Amino acid sequence: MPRKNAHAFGSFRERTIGLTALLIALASAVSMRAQASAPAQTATTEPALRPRDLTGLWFGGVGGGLRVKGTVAPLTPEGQTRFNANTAELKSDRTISADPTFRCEPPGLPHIYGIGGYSIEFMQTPARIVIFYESIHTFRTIWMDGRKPPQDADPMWMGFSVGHWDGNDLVVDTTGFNDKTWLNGAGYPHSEALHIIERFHRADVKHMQLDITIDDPKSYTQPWHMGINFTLQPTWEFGESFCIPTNQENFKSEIIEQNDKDKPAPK
Amino acid sequence: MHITTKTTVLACCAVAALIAIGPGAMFAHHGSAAYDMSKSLTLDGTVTSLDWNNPHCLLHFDAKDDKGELQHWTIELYNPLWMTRAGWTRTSLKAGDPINITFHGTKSGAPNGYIRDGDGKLTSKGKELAFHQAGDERTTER
Repeated sequence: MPRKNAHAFGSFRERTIGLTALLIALASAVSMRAQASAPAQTATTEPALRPRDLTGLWFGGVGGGLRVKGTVAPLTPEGQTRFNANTAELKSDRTISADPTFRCEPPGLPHIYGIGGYSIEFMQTPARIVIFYESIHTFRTIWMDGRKPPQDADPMWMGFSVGHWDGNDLVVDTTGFNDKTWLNGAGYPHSEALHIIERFHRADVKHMQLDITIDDPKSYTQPWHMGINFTLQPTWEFGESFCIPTNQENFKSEIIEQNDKDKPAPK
Repeated sequence: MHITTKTTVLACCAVAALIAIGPGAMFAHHGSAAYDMSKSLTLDGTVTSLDWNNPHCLLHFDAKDDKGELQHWTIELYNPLWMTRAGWTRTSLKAGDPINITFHGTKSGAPNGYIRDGDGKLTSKGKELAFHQAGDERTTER
């Protein structure tokens, strides 16, 4: 159903229904967790596989599990200039600490998957899928009701995401990004032309593969891919974690600067 | 003991996997490039504090160096949620606790270190404090 841009976030009634459904989902999740609140090493009943239901807490591994699949596509001259600036510390063999996320700036997509060893959690309603990101205690909405991205909207850190089911795979198109974030901790840049396609494939009850297509013709000569292999963690609870600037500064002075103290200053 | 056996098996798998993957494949928050991941140090020391914070919990301890002088060390652990899922609390180690610790030192020689689920090991008062999260089935890519 076509919608006007002014209603991009839904009518009051739609929002109320959506919020109520979300709260019910949250309450049932809490209730299920409470019943299964025994120590984590206790065996739990394997959850059933329900097609098109990705609900649950998923863990990707160290660094969130975010990896380049194959190789990064060649950079355009504009992309190369920005990559060189982002990674100047590498020329002095220093740890990259210019990453904006190190200063607690929003990581954007797909970098948010690659912040530390944290989990993500899916909650679903018919019109919205919400992914919660434990790493910085934030979330994003994937609109499943057929709406289109707003025209001429302000560029966003997390972009505007619309999704559809391709068989039982969830395919998400995200556009509308600003160009302030890095794609990952290795300094790969992007422009406002970035288009990200995420394909979530539930291989079985416990395993989900995410393929991420990076399509940014201003920064890369062709699309390339990143990926994460998630495992379902039915015994874990979504934890609290925030990026705390004073902690980051402390970590930098105690660890990074000490480790790199014999290296020349980056030019 | 069950935990020790499991850790030993996991350590072998993790080391094999890391050789196969190579550290360049990983994108941790700040990476492990400053650490010598090719070898480990093992020290006996005394805990001075455990900082329970993002982005990494930090373990501070004193240990005698080759000349018998006290050296102060700071070791990166995992984030607090990871540590909790591995069975720790913020009081699992306290100032004065004796430890035996195996970790990766820095390439620069700075008295810092990085302890990793798989090939790191930490015991205190005869008890192992593990870094493997309960329910994490991974034995590779860690």
